[in-house]
Amino acid sequence: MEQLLQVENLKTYFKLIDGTVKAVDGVSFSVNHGEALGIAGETGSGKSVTVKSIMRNMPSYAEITADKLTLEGIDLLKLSNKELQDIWGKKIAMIFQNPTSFINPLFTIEKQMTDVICFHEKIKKAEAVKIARNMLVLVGMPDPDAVLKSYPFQLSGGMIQRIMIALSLSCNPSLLIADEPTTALDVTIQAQIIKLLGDIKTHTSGLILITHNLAIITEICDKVAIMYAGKMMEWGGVNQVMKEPAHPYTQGLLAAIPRLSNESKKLEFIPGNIPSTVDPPKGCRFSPRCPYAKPVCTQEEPPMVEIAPSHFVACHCAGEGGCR
Amino acid sequence: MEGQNTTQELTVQQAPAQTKSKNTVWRQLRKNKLSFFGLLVIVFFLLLAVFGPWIAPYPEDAGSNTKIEERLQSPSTEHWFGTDDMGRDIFSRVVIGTRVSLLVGVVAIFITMCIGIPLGAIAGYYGGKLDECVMRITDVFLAFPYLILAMAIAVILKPGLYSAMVAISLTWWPYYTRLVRGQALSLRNQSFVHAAKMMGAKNSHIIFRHILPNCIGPIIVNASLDMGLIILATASLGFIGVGAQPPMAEWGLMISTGREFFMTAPWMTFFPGLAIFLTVLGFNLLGDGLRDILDPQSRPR
Repeated sequence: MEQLLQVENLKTYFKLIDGTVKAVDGVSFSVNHGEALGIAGETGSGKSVTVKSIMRNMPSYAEITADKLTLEGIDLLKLSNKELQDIWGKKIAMIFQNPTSFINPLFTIEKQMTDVICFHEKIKKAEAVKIARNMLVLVGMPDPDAVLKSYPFQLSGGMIQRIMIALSLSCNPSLLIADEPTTALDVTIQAQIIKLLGDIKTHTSGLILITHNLAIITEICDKVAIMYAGKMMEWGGVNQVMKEPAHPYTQGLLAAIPRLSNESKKLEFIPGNIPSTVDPPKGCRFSPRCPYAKPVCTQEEPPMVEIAPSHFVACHCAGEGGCR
Repeated sequence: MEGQNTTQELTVQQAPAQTKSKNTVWRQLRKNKLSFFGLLVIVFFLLLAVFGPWIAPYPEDAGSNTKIEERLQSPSTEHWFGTDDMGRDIFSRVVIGTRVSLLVGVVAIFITMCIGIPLGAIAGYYGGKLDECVMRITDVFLAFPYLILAMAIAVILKPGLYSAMVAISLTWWPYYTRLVRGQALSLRNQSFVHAAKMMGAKNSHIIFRHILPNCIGPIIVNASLDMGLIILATASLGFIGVGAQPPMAEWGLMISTGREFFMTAPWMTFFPGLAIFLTVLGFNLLGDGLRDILDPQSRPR
């Protein structure tokens, strides 16, 4: 299959006075055309920094390096700021966590949507309005004409998130990145947005979804990547990883999902906290919290191994039938 | 379409928001008695400024007309505000002087904004060294009391009404730069600015579409408060003698000439002073009211 996005050995370091924060440290993955990748992990595991680095949307003191970082053959690391403006919105679009704060409160939806469309597609305003209207219909917005004339404060959070999705899709981006798109919304709206993201998958070439919620990933993604402390722990097809999690961290995350069926048991959790990325533990970064940690785990960093076809795990135990 | 069935419960509040928000400002202004009084005073003076030469009973007295036989008359039915040392009707001169004062106020505010707002937006948005440079320049300007700096500039430029305007603008812009810079600093970290950038927006687009429109509230409030101060400053420059030059009918200048006759003809200073007092009060009351309405903290979402 043709590869849309290729990321190899991506590193994002922040050089600070008290040390270098290795927010993302050697992450590799790829997204094929028509595929959805879910990135999951605890808070602070480097998920957002990974996608922001891919977009090159980082403050100047961040150091981004990679062996390979290409989108449809374009080397993203070599682009100038000016070239990035053409990439952003046109090739890569992003949906954010808290929709209501990501929209300018002073202008109508129509104005904000047509601005973007006119800029990227170089077309007249009347046509842009038509496209905007079509996009609103596509995201299932009832009464799109009224919505276009509305100001953000007249709309609910769920509606604005739909508008953000419509806006991101309006220039037919190759890659859509959704950074926890449902975190700020209530549960019913969450379900609608997730369903919508599943539906619109066909309208973009690729989707990267960042979330804490593994259930969402199972729902709409084809591949899943589990991150921990700036490292990729496990990645592969959703079914494989969810059914047969090979990494103890993935197992822990899955066990921590509350289930109604086992009332008697307390909710599982992974003891300890995510380590500092300034001074990460030696060897496997998960070893201090890993219930199966062996001496080798605290000494050597485990390599990424393919335990099944396109199912990669970075764990010392993985090759020997897993840690169960 | 896909997702349609899940969205039936969402409804749109249909409201022509533009007119609604205008109405709210108007209604709140009506409710605030003092600000509304300020607005009335300003409208009154605006009318005087526009129709001054037709309202004034002796429009020819605006210039250097001399009627020695009528000099220093006290207020009467013929001369409502009395006459000055050259026999000119003070009521006419006060009415005609309105135009000068308001014009200076508007022009000076306009020039001030033209310099101050873009500089502030650019400094605040880009930050870094550019910001440092601009802010240090404003510090230099702010280090002097504004009237002294304006006097110095007006003297260098050759005293006159136009140099007074320029002098006031040149001393006033740092306040706007500071104001807008502060707003821009906080706005550039707002998520929607970030999102606009991520959609490929150019810096100029972000400044004019996202930063400046969001600063407009504080700018309007400041401008209406400053109108009063600038009128006062113009009058002060006229009083000192580096602003409007005789025989122009300018309030500050009229007070200045009236000073010599203060003991014998107090109306010469009193009425121009009253006019200054009322305009400045009007703008301040309106500005205060607008601040309550437009201030971002109290603005209804």
